[in-house]
Amino acid sequence: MNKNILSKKHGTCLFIIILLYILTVIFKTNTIYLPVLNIILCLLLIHYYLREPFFSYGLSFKKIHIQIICGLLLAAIILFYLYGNAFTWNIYPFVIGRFMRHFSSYPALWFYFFNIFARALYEEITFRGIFLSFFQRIFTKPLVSIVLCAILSGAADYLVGQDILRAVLAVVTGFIYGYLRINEPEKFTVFSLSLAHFLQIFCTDIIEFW
Amino acid sequence: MKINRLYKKYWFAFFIIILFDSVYTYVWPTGSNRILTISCVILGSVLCLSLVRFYLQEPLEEYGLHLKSPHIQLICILLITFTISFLAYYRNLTKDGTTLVLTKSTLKNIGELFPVSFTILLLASVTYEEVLFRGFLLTFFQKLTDSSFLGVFISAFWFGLMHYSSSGTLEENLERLISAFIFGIIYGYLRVKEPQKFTLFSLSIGHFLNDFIALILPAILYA
Repeated sequence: MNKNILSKKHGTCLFIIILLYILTVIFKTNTIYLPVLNIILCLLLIHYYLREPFFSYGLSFKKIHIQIICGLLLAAIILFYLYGNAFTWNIYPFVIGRFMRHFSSYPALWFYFFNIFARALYEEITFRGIFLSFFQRIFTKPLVSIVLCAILSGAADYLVGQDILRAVLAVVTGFIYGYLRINEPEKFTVFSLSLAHFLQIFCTDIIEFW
Repeated sequence: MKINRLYKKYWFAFFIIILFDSVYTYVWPTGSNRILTISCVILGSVLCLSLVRFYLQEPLEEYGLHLKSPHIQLICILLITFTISFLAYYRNLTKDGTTLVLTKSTLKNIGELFPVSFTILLLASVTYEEVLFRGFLLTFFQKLTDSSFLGVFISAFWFGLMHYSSSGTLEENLERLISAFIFGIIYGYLRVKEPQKFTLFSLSIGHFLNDFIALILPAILYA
């Protein structure tokens, strides 16, 4: 099979994933089930339907410690630019401490962490995993794939939030994630990008909570 | 080519450049005279490039200076500048009631705040910083340690330290240091990973735009 050509199977797979995403957006559900189900379905499609290795879609757990460090560093850089001036430096430990005390009083809220991680992982598998790999096979220039993928993630974010600035932010972060996923595939896998995405959502929530 | 530790030429060039930079930064009374400052930073850039070309006799391409496909370089740096600036000012843009409107009075205000001489000084300064940190020092440490990561890291850390000033509070200085360090990491990484797209020419333009936006945005927002 020529790896540069998408087969009918890929088309069907793409159609199913887009349909799922639209359904998720239409129902605007905040439950954990839909993202988790979608993640499982994406993985099943890759493994059993397309019969391709996970690592060709950016899913790999090799050198997991390096991936975690890179994910944390990426999150730190993005968050520094986004919220570097949000508080004075000495207030951060206090805010995070108060936030964590809130969580320890309501153990059920630990699901919140799992929920946002599932959301982040689902978006990363869809956009930086499947879409980006498909685009890479269609277009010879990686920049085109990265930009297209970033625009798609921005459009998806706009459908959910109806906020143009948030959509542009999604395009910008999508561009960074896509660039790193293509240029540093060993360090920035879907897992490490999901970690960075998760931290970005979590810190945004902390600041909004404050 | 990895530097032979006994090869004195590199160390001599390094020493001269650091000496010039230290004199320029800490000894010379640069703040008082704008033309003198412009001359100093231009001299610094010329000194760095001359040492590489004529003393070390190495191609300038190796130190990140070439003008191949300038349009690609410009597009890439504009993209990166937009990305960084958008992330940095995202919170300002989302504040209620804040809109970016360029009126005649705002433009006049900007013109008064940033005269031509200041713009030239800014352009010359950022060019000098790029030639020094992403040009000479990055390549020097890259060759010395035989590692791109260490080259980028050390030059970025040095770049961060240079932005730590004696005035201002500790928090302000730390923020400036971290900000410059992250900026140095991003630019250094791009210079090493994409040498055809991110050269000293394009990085200087990006650095200039970044500084210019940082200075101009408050003038627009709070005009």
